Amino acid sequence: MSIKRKLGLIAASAVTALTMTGWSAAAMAADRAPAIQAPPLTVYGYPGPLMRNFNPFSESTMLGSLSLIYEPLFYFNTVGSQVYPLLGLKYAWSNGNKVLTVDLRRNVRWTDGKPFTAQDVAFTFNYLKKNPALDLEGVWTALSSVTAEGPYTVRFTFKTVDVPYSWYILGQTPIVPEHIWSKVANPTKFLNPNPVGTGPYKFTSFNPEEYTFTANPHYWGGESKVHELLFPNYLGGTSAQLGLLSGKIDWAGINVPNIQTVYVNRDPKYNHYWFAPASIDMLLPNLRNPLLASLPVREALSLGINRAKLYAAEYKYSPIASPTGLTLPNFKEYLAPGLPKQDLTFAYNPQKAEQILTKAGFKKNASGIFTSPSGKPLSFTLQVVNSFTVWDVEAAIIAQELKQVGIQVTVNEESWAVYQNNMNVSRNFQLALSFTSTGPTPFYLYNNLLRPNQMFNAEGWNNPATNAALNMFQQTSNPKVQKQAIYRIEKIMATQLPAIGLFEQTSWNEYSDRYYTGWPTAKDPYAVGGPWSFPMEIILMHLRPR
Amino acid sequence: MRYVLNRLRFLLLTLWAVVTINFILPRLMPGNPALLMIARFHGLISPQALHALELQFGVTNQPLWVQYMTYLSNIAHGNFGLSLTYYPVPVTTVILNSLPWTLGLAGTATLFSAVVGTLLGIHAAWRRGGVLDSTLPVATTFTGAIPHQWLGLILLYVLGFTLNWFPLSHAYSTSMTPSWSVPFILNVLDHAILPGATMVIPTIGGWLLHMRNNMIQTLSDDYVVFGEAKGIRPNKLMYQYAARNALLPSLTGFAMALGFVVGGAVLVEVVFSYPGVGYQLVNAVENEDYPLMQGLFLIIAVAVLLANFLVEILYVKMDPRVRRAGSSE
Repeated sequence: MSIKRKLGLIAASAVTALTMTGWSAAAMAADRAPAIQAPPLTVYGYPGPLMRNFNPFSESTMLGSLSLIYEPLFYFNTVGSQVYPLLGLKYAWSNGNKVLTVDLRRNVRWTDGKPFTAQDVAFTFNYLKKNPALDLEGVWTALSSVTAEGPYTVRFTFKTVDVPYSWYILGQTPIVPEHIWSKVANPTKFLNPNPVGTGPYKFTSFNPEEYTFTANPHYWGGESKVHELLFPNYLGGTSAQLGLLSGKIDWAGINVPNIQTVYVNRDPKYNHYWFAPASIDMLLPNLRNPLLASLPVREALSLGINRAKLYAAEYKYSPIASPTGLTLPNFKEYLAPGLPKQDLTFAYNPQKAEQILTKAGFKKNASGIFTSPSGKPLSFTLQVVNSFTVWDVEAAIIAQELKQVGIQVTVNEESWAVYQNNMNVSRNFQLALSFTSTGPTPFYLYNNLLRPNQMFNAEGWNNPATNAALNMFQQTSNPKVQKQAIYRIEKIMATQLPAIGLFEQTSWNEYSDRYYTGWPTAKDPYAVGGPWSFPMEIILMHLRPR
Repeated sequence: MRYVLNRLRFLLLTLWAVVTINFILPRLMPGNPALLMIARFHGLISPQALHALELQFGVTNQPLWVQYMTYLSNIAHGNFGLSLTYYPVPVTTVILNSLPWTLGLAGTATLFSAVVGTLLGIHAAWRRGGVLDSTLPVATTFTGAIPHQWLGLILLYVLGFTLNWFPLSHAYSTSMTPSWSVPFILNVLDHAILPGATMVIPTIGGWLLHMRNNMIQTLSDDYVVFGEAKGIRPNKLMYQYAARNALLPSLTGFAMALGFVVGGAVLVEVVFSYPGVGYQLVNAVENEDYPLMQGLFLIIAVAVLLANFLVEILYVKMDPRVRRAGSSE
C-alpha cells in the first residue's frame, strides 16, 4: 500500500471516530434532563473512589450510610443549641448522673418492614461490646451496661460519671437492626451491600462512578421531598470544583478558592455557600521544651502574629479565633461575663512582644534573635502537613511575622503519616499547627486538648485547675454548672496560653437552591451546613421544592 | 531454546526478588495505618477509635520473618488481604475496579502513541529534510516537554469546560450502567478522548525521535544502498528491510512502557476523575495501606517483568543474531 493510501486510511478513520463521538455526544446531551418538579440532588462530600461499603461501623463507609440510612438516637446541633429527637424522643439522667434513660420513638419501621424497638438499640450497643473493633467511639470505655426495659425504653449505666460522653452514645452511634446483624458472622469484614435502616433514604443502585438513594416512603418523619440523591465519584478537588461550577454537583463540601468570583458570581441567584465554624486551628507549643514552657515566650509568640494577615491570605473564609478557645458564634452563650478586652480578642503588638521577652531576661543576639540568659536562642521548627495548602500558606506568613519580633521559625512540611506520628505518638515537635475537636459544647475541644495523657493533647498541658474544671463539667448535667466550668477554662486558655489560637476551622459547604430551598445559613443555623454524616438527614428533611 | 530457558530462570529469580522487596519497603515507613485513619478525620472523631482500628487492621507485632512467611503463602494463594483504606473491601476488588480502566486508557494511549510515533519516525527518516522531518521532531519535542497535568488541565478547561465539546470527568456518564452495548462503548470513547490526548501528546515525540534516529543510522548501512540499487520497491525497502532492523531498540522501550502502563497515570486520573490504578497507588502510599500497596507494586513489577520476558522471546524471532548467539553456547 502506498503511503498516500495509508495516510488516506488514517484520515478516514479519524473522521469516522470524530463523527461517532459527535453522535454519542448528541445522545449524551439528553443524558440527565431534569424533571421540572423534583429533580435528583447531586451530592459530593469526599474524594473517591467508590466502594460498595454500607457498613455503618466501618471507617470507610460510603457517605450517607450514617444519617440517611442508619440513624443515631438524637442529632445535637454543633452550631446552635437544638437537639433533634430522631430514634430517641427524650433522655434523662438519674442516680447521680450515672444512669441515662432514653425514651424511644414509636411506630418506626426498618426498610424491610420489621418494627424498630428497644431491642435493636440494646443489641447495637452490646454488639459493640462483643466486637471491640467496631467500637470506634470507644463507648465501652465509659459504659458498664446497656439494657432494654420494655419495648421503648433503654437504660445506659455508666462506669463513672461522664455526662459529655453521652454525645458519642446518643448522637454519634448508628442503630442497626438486630434481626439482620445478629446473623452476621464477621462484622468487621462485612460490607453490608444492601443496607436496611430506619433513615429517610434507602439504597437504590451502585456503580463505581455513582451510587443513588431514593426517599424512604415509610420514614417516621414522612417521605422526603427530595426524592432522589445521586452521589458521583470525583477523585480530587479540581475535578470536583469543575463539577460544582458546571452545575453537575448541587451540594458539595469542598474548599473553593475565591468562591465569590468563581462560584457565586456564575449564578448569584442560586449559587450559595455557608462556611460554618467547626473548631479552631491552633499553634501548639511543645511544653516539654523549656523555652516554650515559659509563659512570656508564648505570649510573645501570640502577640507577634498578625492574624488579620492570615485571615486575608485565605480569602477571608476563616474568622480569627478567640483567645478563650470558644468556637464563635456557635458558643457565644458560653462567654464569661465581664472578660477583659485582651481575653476576648487577640492583639497584634510586636513591640509589646519584644518588651515581654526583654523583661523576662531575653536579649537579642548578633543575628537579631532573642536568646535566653543561658544562651539558648528562640529558634523553633514549625510542623505542618505538606498537602494542606492552607496550613502551608499560613505557616510561611507566621514564620515571616515572628522573624520581625526576633523569634526564628523554620517551617517543616511533613507528610500526613510523619506529622501524625510526631504529634500524637512520639511528641517529637517544637511548634506545630493543629486541628482541634468539635462537638455540641465547648467541652470536647478543651477535653481533647488539655486533659493530660490524651492522644490529641500533643502540647503536654497538665494543670490541676484545668483538670478540676474539666471534671466539674463532666460530672454535672446542669447547664448552669457546666457554664461555670467553661468560664474557668476560658480564662486559663486566654491568660496562660496552653495553645495559641489562630483561626477557626470551617465546614466547607456550597449548594444551589435552584430546585430546593430551606438550606441552613448563618441566619438560620438549624444544622451544620455541608454534606456530612449526621446533619445530612436534618437538612434533607428540611428542604422543599421551589 | 537454551536462551529461552535461561531467560525463564532469570525471570523467576527476579520475581522472587521483587516479591521480597515488595514486603520490606512498606514496612520501612514510619507510623501505623490505624493512626493515619484517625488522622484522616482531622481529630473530629474520638481518640478511642485508635484501639478499635488497630484491632480491625490487625496491626501486628509478630516477628518479621513470621510475617514474611505468611505473606509469601498468601501470595501463592492469590490472597492479597483486605485494603486498609477501604476496609474491609478486599485488595483484589479495589484493584479490579480500576485496573481495566488503566489498561484500557493507558494501554491504548501507549499503543497509539508508540505505533503512530514510530510510523511517523519511519517516514520522517525516509524523506530526510522533507516536510515531516522538518516540522515533527521539533513540534513533538515541544509537546513532550509539557507536563501531563498542565496539558490535561488546559485541554479540560478549554475544550471541556469553556467550549463544552467533551465531558468534564469520569470514564462514562455517571447515570449509565456498565455493559457491552454500543451506546455505552461510545460513551466510554467520548470520555476517553481528552485523557487519552493528554497521554498521547507528550509521549509521541519520544517514539518519533527514537525511531527516526535509528532509521537514519540503518539507512546509512550498505545493504540498504545495495537493495535500492537492485531495484527493490521503496516501500518494501523502507518497511521490510530498514524499519524492521531499526525497530529493535524501540521494541525494548515499548516493552518497558507496556509494563509501566499498569502503574497508571495518576496525574491524568486526578485531573479527569478517571478511575485508575495510579490514583489507587498514591492513595495507598499516603494512607500506609500495606496490603493495597503490596498488591499494586506486585502487579506492576510482574507486568514489567512479563512484558520484558515476552519481548526477549520476540527478539529471538526478530533478530537472528540473538538466535545464533544463543545456539552457539
